[in-house]
Amino acid sequence: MEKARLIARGAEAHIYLIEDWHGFRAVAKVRVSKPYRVRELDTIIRARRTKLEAYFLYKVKRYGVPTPTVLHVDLHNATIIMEYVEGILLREHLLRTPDEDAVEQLGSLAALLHTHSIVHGDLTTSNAIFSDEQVVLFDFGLAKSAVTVEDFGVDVLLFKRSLLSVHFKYFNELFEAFIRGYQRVAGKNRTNTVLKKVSEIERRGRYVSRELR
Amino acid sequence: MICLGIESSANDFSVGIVDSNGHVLSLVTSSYIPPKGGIHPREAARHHAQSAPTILRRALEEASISIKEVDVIAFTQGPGLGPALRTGATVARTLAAYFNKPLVGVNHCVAHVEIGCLLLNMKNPLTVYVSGGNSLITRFEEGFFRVYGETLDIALGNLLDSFAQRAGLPFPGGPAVERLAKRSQRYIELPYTVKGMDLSFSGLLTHALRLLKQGVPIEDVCYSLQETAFAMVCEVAERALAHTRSDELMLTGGVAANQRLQEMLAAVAKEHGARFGVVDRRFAVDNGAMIAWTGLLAYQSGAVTPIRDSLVKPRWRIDQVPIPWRKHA
Ligand SMILES: Nc1ncnc2c1ncn2[C@@H]1O[C@H](COP(=O)(O)OP(=O)(O)OP(=O)(O)O)[C@@H](O)[C@H]1O
Ligand SMILES: Nc1ncnc2c1ncn2[C@@H]1O[C@H](COP(=O)(O)OP(=O)(O)O)[C@@H](O)[C@H]1O
Ligand SMILES: [Mg+2]
Repeated sequence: MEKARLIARGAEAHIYLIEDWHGFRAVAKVRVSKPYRVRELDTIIRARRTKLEAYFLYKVKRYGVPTPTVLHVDLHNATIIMEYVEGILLREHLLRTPDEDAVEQLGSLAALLHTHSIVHGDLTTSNAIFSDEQVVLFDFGLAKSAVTVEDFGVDVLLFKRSLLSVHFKYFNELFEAFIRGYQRVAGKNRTNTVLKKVSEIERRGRYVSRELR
Repeated sequence: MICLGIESSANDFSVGIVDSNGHVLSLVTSSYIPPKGGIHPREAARHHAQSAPTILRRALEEASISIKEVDVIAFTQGPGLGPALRTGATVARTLAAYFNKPLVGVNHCVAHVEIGCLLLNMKNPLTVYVSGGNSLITRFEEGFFRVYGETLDIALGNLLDSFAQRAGLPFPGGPAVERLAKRSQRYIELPYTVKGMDLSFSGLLTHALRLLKQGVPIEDVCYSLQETAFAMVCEVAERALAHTRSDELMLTGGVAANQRLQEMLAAVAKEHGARFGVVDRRFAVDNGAMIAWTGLLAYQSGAVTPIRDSLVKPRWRIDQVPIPWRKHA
């Protein structure tokens, strides 16, 4: 490995830029150990997410979802080496301009995943890069195969929440754009079913289980 | 200025009296202990109605004031169990109408955060609020408390209580599980479910009970249950901390009493250079003082709740409440 420079610290991973990885400009995503949790659980979580992320980064590309190309996986060190994506984090991009087009693209990508029975699991504007007018999706550590409307609903709800917490000023426009993009791929019926589920999950009281106990 | 606050959202009926210097003049609570572990909303309501006169009188006595000296009546308007909330609201309305005092409806979750800020001297912490009925991670930003993560099914305290109940442990389950967990260091994998920033505990409950059935020692199950559930909470808290760059982290709610959870979140805070604070047990559980204090903040910023708007809101989310007193944060 060539010189690696720390370029980002996510909550669970450190991202290093490797200028020349066998001729590629690459990043190493290293899932770091968390001192607060028991070692056994820590090891399980880091290895599992590394594996899932590599698997889905590769798999969803075939469905037309732009992702960084995986170059190398090291489960033992919970590390993935992948293509470096030029561009700007979608979050920053949207904070500059509430670009409905970009969010519409993201909506279509979400629908593409869902129609192939996959949920991203952490769909936020911090997990996409706006690169050359195109949205590239990454951070698939929480992705999974899914078939229930509940799972799709949760995925959409997560995105809705992330809009509400970061881009609340333009929430309405941006969420509508997301739905437009989603609907273009998933169709009207499916989209409505998922949206209905989203509001149902939102309505669920935190007291329901206690009352029924 | 003096505010009397009434809390009745779940199994406690509690009255607190607070002045505008942030001094708690009194806090008196009566708890309804459910006979078989589960809370029956109507039974809780009955308990609250029966204890109201005594608790009110004792709160006033302890504060050495008469009801005439109270300036504002505050009550929990939601979220919570409908029948239980209605009892407290009725008491509050009656007092306000009879003694001609302004009435202020308070959001229970907001109150947990505000009393914590008062006691820990924090300005705008990221708050981890984990109790029997709620599990959420929140922080004030531009007019509202934003929810950065919450449970998609049962609350953390509910997880511990339900597990304990079915394992034959005494109610409340939290302390019992903690005691047993301290005797083990054997971690058995349990479902760890974080969805984005949200949590799901129901699968964890099912699996933990299954382990128990399979004959795994209860100490090991309790230990693994705690380690898994708390690690989930910590992960979401950590992400929210990284995301908001908050320099304060606050832990409150009934489950905040758990030493292991405290230790874990303290480590998270340390890693992110945030000051960590745990709300004192008396004020971390449901209590009337937090309602009084928040009612006072609201009243001083011009909010009152006319009787016609004082219907309870059992599902009132923290992110729907306007917070006029925090304009500048
Ligand atoms: N040491 C402990 N460890 C873990 N959990 C605990 C501990 N002590 C108490 N608890 C849990 O705290 C919860 C009680 O919280 P609290 O008194 O705040 O009441 P609540 O009515 O559930 O609250 P809310 O209305 O705010 O949701 C119970 O679930 C109990 O098991
Ligand atoms: N392939 C990549 N190319 C360029 N930047 C990346 C790439 N992968 C991650 N990053 C940067 O690193 C940050 C954190 O990466 P991410 O995979 O989301 O980690 P985490 O799981 O910790 O959130 C991203 O927000 C992005 O800025
Ligand atoms: Mg990320």
